[in-house]
Amino acid sequence: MENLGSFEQLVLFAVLRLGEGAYGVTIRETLEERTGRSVSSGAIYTALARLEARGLVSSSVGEPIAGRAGRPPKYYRIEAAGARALRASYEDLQALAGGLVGKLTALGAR
Amino acid sequence: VEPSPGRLLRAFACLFIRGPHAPYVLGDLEESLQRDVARGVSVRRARVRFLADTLASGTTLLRDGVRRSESAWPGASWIDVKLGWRLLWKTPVLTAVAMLALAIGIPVGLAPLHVIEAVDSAPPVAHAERILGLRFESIGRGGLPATALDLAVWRESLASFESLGAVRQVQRNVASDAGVGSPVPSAEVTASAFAILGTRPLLGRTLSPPDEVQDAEPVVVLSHGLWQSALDGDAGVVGSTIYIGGAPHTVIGVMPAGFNFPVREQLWLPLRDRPASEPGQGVGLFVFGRLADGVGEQAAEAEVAAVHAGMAARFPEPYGGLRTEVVSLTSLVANFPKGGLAAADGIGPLSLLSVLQLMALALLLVACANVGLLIFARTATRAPELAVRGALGASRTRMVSQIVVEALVLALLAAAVGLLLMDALAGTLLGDRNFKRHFGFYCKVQLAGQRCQRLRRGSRNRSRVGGRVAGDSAWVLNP
Repeated sequence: MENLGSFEQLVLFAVLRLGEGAYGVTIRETLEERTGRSVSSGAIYTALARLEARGLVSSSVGEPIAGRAGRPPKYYRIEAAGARALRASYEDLQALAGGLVGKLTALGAR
Repeated sequence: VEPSPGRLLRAFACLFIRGPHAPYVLGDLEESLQRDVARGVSVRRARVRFLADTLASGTTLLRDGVRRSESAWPGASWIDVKLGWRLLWKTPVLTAVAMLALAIGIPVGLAPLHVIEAVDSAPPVAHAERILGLRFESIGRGGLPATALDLAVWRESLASFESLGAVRQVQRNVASDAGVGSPVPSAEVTASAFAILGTRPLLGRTLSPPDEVQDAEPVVVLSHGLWQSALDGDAGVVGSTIYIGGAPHTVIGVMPAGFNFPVREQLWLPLRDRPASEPGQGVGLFVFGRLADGVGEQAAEAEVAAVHAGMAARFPEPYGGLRTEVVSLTSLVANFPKGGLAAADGIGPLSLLSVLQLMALALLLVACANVGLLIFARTATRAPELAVRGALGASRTRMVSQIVVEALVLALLAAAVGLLLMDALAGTLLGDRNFKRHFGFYCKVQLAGQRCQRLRRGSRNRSRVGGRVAGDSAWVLNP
């Protein structure tokens, strides 16, 4: 079973959500919009490179688009192994976290 | 026009972001900037974000590259570091000699800066940079000491200073229990001096204006050191009588440890000078004050110059050929030039500090050159090894970077030893025991450990319950 770090999970969910259009800028914006976290491009690429080395995602260099000073984007796609790992992690999290939100609120987390 | 990060930022990003992901990260940075601007963010703000992301991404990629030992900068790698480490033990004599040279050269190279920093530092009181001294200076023929009359004039006419005070260093005999007197460095100060410095007494009170009256009861404030040594740290010392210069004085307070204003004084007596009728008469004083809120040093200097012009117009003798200089408290008391010891005259345009420092650096350079020669000799003996590697296909860059990294391992290690030695030396030579005896209040040896201690000391607000306070007690400062 492949283990995923929490940041890797976030990045994978962002890639999944974006589908065809998942590359550095869109992944970063998705993470920022949905989690409010500010992440650097560098962190996203290093995480994705690790995942790619484990065969969980694949990448392809796309056609150049405007506004990137001539540098083409690199698109990422989740592989079957990646989807399995992400699903397993998410299910683990749900199984453990189920019904505990109330408790967290009681402890002062809002 | 399409918004852009600008040539400079773009060049910096290209230099700073390295490694296989660099082109994609750089493209992303450009696109993010475009998107930010399209979203209504100002170009300025977008560029700041560009820079922040450049720094964050660059460091992340670099760290990642190092971790996976596939360096972002071509040529060098972890294996070179390992080889360098192994080489240290393979040529132990060279290692020992090189280490010795650098371990001595580095402390010597750093020593002048350390000494000057230690001597020429502001006293350890709150906002010391706002406490300035006033003195008469003339070009060529030395100054004139300020007197009680000058203090009175300045107090009346200067609005730039919240309050002014004065101090004079004197020697007084303090009689011990056995009746034997010993000379103690003492100071006669105005009551305002304690308020200007902002240091509260550990016990009792400091001097107050009524103490300055000519025939008032003789009183004294003791230093922590004198309290401990001469009075054995007696908690009930306030109100007792000690003999100073043969005359009984009532102890009214004890200052916290480390307070030895102005330099290394042990007791403080009220300054009871009456302004003389003629300017230039009377005993010399160090006059200083705390700048009033919102007044800068330049504004104070302008006002002081104006007041001096008035004094010189009324009394051409002695003020005519002089000017009033506004200097730091350290420069005033230690008689350093305006701008501190660093501004002291040396050779030509070089200050004394730079001459000393250059000499020390030359010595370090000699040590470095010797180590360089040794490493060169070591490399020369490895010609066969390098020839084989070249024949096997190693590039010139690869081999050169290996040699550089190997030398760097040795140098870093030697530098670490040198710095530790410096730390230990400065601790003993400039630390509490010897150096402080001479430079007392002003000595501030800035070393890692002691700096931490200072910070801790600052954050801890010590209670002053009970008489005896552990030897190294806290500074009790006004908020």
